[in-house]
Amino acid sequence: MTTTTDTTEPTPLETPATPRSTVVRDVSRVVAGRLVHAALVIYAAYSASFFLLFVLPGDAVLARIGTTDTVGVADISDLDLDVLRDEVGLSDSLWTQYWNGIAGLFRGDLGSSLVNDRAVTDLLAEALPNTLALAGLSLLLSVPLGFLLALLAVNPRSRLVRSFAALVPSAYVSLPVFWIGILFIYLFSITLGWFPSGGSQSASALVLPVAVLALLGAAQFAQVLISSLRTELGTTYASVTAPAKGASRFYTLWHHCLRNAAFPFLAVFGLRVGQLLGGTVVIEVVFSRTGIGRLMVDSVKAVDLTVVLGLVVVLAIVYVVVNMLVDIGYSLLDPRLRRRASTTQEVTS
Amino acid sequence: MTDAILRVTDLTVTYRRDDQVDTALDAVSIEVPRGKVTAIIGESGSGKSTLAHAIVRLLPHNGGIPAGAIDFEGENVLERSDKAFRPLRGRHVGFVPQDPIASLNPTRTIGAQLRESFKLAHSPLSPAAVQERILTDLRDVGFTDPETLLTRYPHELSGGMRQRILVAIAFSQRPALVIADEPTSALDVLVGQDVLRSIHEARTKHDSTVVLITHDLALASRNADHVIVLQRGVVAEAGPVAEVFADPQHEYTRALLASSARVAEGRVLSIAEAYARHDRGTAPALSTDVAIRLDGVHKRFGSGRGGTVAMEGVSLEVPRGSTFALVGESGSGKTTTSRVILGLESADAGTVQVLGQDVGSLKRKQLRDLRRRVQVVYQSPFESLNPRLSLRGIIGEPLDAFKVGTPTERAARVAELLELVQLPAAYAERRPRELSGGQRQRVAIARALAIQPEVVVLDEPVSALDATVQAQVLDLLGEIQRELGLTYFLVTHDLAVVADVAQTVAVMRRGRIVEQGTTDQVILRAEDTYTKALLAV
Repeated sequence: MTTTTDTTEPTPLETPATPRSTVVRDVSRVVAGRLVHAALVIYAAYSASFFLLFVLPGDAVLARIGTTDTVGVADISDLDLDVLRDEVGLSDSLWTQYWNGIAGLFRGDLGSSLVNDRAVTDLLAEALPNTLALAGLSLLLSVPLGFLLALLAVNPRSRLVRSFAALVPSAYVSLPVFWIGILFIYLFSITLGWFPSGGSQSASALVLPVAVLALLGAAQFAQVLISSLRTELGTTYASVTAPAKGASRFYTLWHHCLRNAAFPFLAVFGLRVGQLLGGTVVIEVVFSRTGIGRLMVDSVKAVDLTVVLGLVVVLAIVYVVVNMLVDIGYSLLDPRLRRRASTTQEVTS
Repeated sequence: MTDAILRVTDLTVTYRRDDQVDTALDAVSIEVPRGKVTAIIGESGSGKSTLAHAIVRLLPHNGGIPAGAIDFEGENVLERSDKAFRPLRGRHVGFVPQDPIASLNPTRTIGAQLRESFKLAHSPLSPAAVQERILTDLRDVGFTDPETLLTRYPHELSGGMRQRILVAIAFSQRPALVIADEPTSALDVLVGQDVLRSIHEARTKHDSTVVLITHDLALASRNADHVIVLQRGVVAEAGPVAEVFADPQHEYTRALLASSARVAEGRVLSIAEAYARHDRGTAPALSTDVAIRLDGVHKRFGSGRGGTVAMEGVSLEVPRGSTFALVGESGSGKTTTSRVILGLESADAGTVQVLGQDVGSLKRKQLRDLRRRVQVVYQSPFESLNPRLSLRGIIGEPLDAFKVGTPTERAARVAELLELVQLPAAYAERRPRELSGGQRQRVAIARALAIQPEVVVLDEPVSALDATVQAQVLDLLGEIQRELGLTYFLVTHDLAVVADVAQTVAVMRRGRIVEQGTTDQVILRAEDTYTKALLAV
C-alpha cells in the first residue's frame, strides 16, 4: 500500500497491546474489587437473616421444652423459662445479641446450638463433607456431560438428531428430582441391586444421588449452552468468516463458538453450585443422607437460630466465592471485559 | 470472454420461509473473466449477496440450489459434497464479508485469527514463515506497524482496520478468486476507499480475480472492469463497465444510472461536478430569521482519559425555512449535535437556541412544549416503527400523546398526512412489515409532521434506502418543505445528498466544524483539506 492515509480513523494503537502481565493486572484488580464486595454481601446476609429470624414467632427455649428428648422427664412447670433464656443469651437486648454474633463472626465462632449446645462449627463440620462430596462429584460430571449434550444438539448434520438431543435436557429438567431419585432407587437398587439405596457412609452410596444431580446439572448446562451456541453459530464470524477460511462446522464450534457461548453457562454454573450446597435437601431425604440441606431444615423447624445463622453465613460465603470465580472466569474469557474493568478503575482513581 | 475463471449457468436459488418457497435467483448465468474485477450491482432484494454466498456455498440454512451449475476453474463445484467443497474455501476462493464489526471473533487476537487461515489451509509453511507472511500481508493492506497488531483484539480496532484485516485474511492463501460482499457499505467513505485500495493492492500483487458485490454505481464504475446488473434475481445486463454505463441497453440499468447523479456518460463525476451540472434554478434568498442557533457548544462524554469530546466549540445558524446539512463521518459528533438540539443531551458549555428558546434553561414542561415544534426522522425505517401498530396508530401516536383534537379529527389528520407523503389512504390499516423501506420512511416522515412542527431534524433519513428510493424520498421532503415552510436540520455522512437538498452546509470532524457556508461555497469552493477529501470521493 502506498498512500494509505489513516486520517479518518481514530489514532491507531494509542494504548499498548495486551501482554500476559496486563491480563494478570486487570484480573487482580477485578479480584480486589470483588473481595470488598464479598465482605459486604456476607455481612448483609447475616444481618438480614438475624433480624428476619428474630421476628419469627417462638424461640428455641419454647421449642426445646416442647420436646421431651431434649428436656428429658423433668417437671416442666418447675422450669424458669427466663433462666433458660439467660443461659443461651436470648434475654439480652436485640442489639447486644446482634453485636455478639458479628463479633463472633470475626473470631470464626458461630456460637452453639440452642437446642443441644453443640458448637455450630462442629455441626457444620459434620454435615459439610457429605454435601461437598455430593455437590463436587455431581458438578464434576455434569460440566463435561452438559457440553457433550449441547454439542450433540448443534453439531450433527441431521436435523432429527439435533432436535432430539435438544429435547432431552428440557425434558429432564422438567421432571421432579424426588421422582427421579425414587425411580433410580427402584431401578438400580431394588431391582438390579447394583448400588445401596441410601446412607452417608459408603462410597457406593454416593453413586445414585450423584447420578441424579449430575444429570440435572448437565441438563441445565446443556439448555443454556444450546441456545448460546445457536446464537454464536449465527454470528458472521462463525457463519461466514470461519467457513470461508475452510473451517468445518465442528471446527468452528470448537474453536470459535464454545468459548463465546460459555458466558451464559458460567452464570448458570454459579447458580448451580449454590443450588447444590443449599438445596439438596430433597435428595438427602430420598437417599437418607445427612448434609447441609437436612441440617438447615431441622434447625429451622427447631427455631435453632444460631445454627440457621451459621448456615446462612456459610452459604453466603460459598455464593460469594463462586460468583467471584464466575466473574474472574468472565474476564479471563472475554478480553472486552478486561479492558472495561481496567478503564473504569482508571477513571475512578 | 474466453478465459473465465468462474462460470455460473442457469443458477436458481430458493429460500424456504414458513411453507412457502421464495426464488432469490432465477436461472442466473454469469461469467467472471480471469484477472479482472467484476462488479455485481443491484438494489436490495436483487439477489446479489445471494449469488456471492451461493458461489462459496455459504447460503443460510433455509437456502437451496434446485438447479444450475457453478463452474470454477472448469469444474462444476456444485457436484462436490460439502466436505469436498471445504478445501476450496480459503485456498482457492477467498471471501471478504460485509460487516467488519461482526466478522471477527471478539475473544481471539488478530494474530490468532490470521494464523488460523494457514492452519485450516494446511499450509506447509513453518510457524516463523507464517509469521513473516502475515506481517508482509498486513503491510500490504496498509498497516505501517503490523507487529503490535497481532496481540490485539478486534474491539480495539476501528471498522476500517478490521475490514483491512479481513482483506488480508481473504488473500492470505493466495486464492485465485476473491469475492467481496459489499466490503465498504458499513464504513465511512474515506475509510472505504482505503479498504478498496487494499483490495486492489492485494489483487495485483497476487494476480487474483475479484468479484465485487455492491449497490454503489460510482464505486463499481471506479473499481471494476466488468459489471453484471442484477434485478430481482435475474441478470438484466452484463458487460465491460465503460460500455454498460455509457450505453445501457436495459431499462433497469438506465433507471439505476438515472438515480445516481454521480455516474454520467460512462464515467464518475465528482460531487462538485455533479453539483455543478445539476440545475436547481435560482435559490430563494435565505431568511434572516434564525430557527436554530448554536454558540460555542461543548459536549464531553465520560471523564478523564476514558472520556471523549463529542462537540468542541460548535457554532452554527440555521435560517428559518431552509435546509441546513451537517456532514460528517461516524464519530464526528454530528449525531450528538442533533441530540443537543432536540434537548436529549445537555451542552456542557455554550448556548443552544431553538425557535428563540434557550434549550439549556428550559424546564421539563417547557421542553415538552418545544418538542411539539421540533420533530425528528431517524435513519432506520426498519427499527423506528413499532411493528405491532398499524400506520394509523403510528402516525396518530404523536397526536394522541399531545392530545390533539377529537378522535375523528385525528383520523382525518392521519388520512391527510398519508396523502401528504404520497401513500394511499387505504394503507392506514397496514402494518410496517407490509411496506418497503422507502414507504416506511414516508410513514416516519408523516409521523414527524403529525403535530405540525416548525423544525424537523432528519438524521440520515435516506442512507438505509436504495438509490432510486433515496431520490424519491428526498424529492418528497423538498415538496413538503415548500408546502409547509419547514426548517430542516439534516444530519448525513453523504455530501451527495447534501448537494441535492441543502442551502447551507457545515462539515464536522472530531467534534469541530471545519467548514461552513452556503452549499455553493462548500461544494464548489471548499478550503478545508478534509472537506476536499470528502468531495473527491
